[in-house]
Amino acid sequence: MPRGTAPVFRRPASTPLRQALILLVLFSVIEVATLGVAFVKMRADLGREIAVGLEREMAGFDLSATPRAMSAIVAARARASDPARSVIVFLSDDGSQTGNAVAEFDAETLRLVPGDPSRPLSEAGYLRRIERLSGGVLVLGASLEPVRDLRETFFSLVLLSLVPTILLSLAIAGMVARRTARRVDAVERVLSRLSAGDLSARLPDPGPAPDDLGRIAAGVNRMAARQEAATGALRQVTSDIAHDLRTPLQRISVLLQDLGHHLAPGSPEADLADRAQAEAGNAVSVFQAMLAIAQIEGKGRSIAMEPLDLREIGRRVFELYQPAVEDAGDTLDYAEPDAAVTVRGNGDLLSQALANLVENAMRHTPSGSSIRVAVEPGPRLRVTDNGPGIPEAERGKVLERLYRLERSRTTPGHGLGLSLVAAIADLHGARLVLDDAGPGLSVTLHFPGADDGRP
Amino acid sequence: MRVLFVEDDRTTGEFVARGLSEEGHVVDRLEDGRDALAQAMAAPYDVMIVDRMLPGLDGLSLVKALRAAHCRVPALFLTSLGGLEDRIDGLRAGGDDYLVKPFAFGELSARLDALARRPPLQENETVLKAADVEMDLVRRTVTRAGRKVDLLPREFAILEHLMRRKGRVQTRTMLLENVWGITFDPMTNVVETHISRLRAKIDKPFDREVIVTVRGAGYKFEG
Repeated sequence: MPRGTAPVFRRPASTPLRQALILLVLFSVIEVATLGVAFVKMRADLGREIAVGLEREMAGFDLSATPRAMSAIVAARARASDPARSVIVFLSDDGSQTGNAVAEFDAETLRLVPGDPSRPLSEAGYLRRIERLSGGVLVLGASLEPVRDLRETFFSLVLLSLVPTILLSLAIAGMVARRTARRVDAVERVLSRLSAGDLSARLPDPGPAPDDLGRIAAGVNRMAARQEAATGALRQVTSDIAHDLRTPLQRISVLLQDLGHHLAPGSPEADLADRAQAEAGNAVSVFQAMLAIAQIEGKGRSIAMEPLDLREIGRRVFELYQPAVEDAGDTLDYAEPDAAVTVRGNGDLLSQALANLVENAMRHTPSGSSIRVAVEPGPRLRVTDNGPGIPEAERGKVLERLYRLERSRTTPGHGLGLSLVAAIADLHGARLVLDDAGPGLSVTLHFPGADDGRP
Repeated sequence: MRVLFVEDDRTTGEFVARGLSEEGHVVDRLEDGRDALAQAMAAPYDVMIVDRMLPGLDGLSLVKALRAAHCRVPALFLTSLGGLEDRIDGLRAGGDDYLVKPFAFGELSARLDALARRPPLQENETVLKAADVEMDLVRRTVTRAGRKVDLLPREFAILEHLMRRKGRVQTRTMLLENVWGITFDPMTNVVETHISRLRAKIDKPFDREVIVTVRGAGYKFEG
């Protein structure tokens, strides 16, 4: 991930950010719900209060008063009260109306309209009470303004408390997530360096009182240190073994050579000495191969790499092996493209890998087989034979150290050839692919490159 | 040749020293790195053989110290470290050649010979002549006893390498290194096959062999 950019907005999968958002939503829902319940309750109380007030007002009227008297009382009251707060209208049976507003009956529903343009009605609506009196109908209305005010109060309460809370929480969550993401990224980077073989990679020291991520960092560091120590010890042991084995083998070799000098050339005894010598050589080549694999796997980064043309490797190995393959009764072909096939690599190791593949093909095919070495743009290096191939189920296993197919137990070779090829492929970031050549085996090294299709 | 041989393993040391003496070299054998440093500074040697692991002063430091003191005696490292970089480390420290244990005496002897006579023949010759073989390096042709011998490019290269080092044994690993530039050890007898192809052309039609096999060591051109 490139540094210096805000990871928050590109990484919604960031755990801390996701958790912060979930908490935020939860708190918002709780706050809205709490305020909502309070609002509903207060609105009910207010409504009841208005209704009770209206009831009390209605009770104050003498229901038996004459329409004229009623009109007079209503007119007096209407003058004193603001129709925006309470409406009082008396509709006399003779059709005349008195009050601070005008009541219109419209298909059995009552509509209130302002009686005087200078005295407007409330826009919030009215709670109404309609009572039949002896000489007409009395209409009382109490404005629902307080209810509307209450709703507005609650609304602004929600707005004023929730919005800043959300904004502030988002900002803090973003900041925390970004910091955490940066630290998690650092852990990721170190882990990927470690898994790529750089065992010296470490996270910054989390200090004496680490938080959870700090403890993870300390854990990663401890793990890396142990692995580095273990690998170092293994390397030391490997080179100690190599040294400790070589010295006695050197003595055996010296003694056998000395013995050979004392024997008549061509005698059966001299022949035995020669064979013993050759076996000692085989033992050396086994741990030589093991040591090489261990070194390539352990010290990958320090091996010198340079741009080179795969065709040179292909030609050299083809040219070296062609007569030997022919003498073994097989044929060896070589194909290369016209243009250079450049990879970054170590020429000695790539030559050895290709030579191992050719020797492998020679060993595991019957006489009369044809073996083909091909350098292809890609870049690819391929060795194909038309021998018995390798059963699909065993193709993974042949790359394991010292693994040999059941039928190959009796053929020479130490079972390290392909493992060494695999280690060399890995060092070059190349994929080693074993395929059925129908019939036969095709082994391909796919180097990282333009038309490889994979990074 | 005067050879300084620094090796702490007695079995190997005595055998090699005896072999070199039998070949007519004067061998001073030492077992300690510090003694060897003093000895190399004190007496002139034609070549030295240095084991990499020595008591007193390790082989790499010994050669480094000698090179720092402008002592240019060719040095061949013997080592029981056969790692990828060990060879490069050795050459970087001022070593001229490198031999991994266990080695055959013939290999050591052939390499010493090559070291002591460095550089080989002048590279600016255009025609090599030895015995009745004549090699034209410009026209890339070979004749033997006046008859043209057709060689493939690699066979030509092998013959050229052997002719330039006429009379000196070239082991198969030396041929691999010098003719093919290959430093690993193939499991197949690739060099032997190339030599036998070359022999079929240059030797078989004639009554005398110019490429002879040196038992336990390698091949040489006999002029």
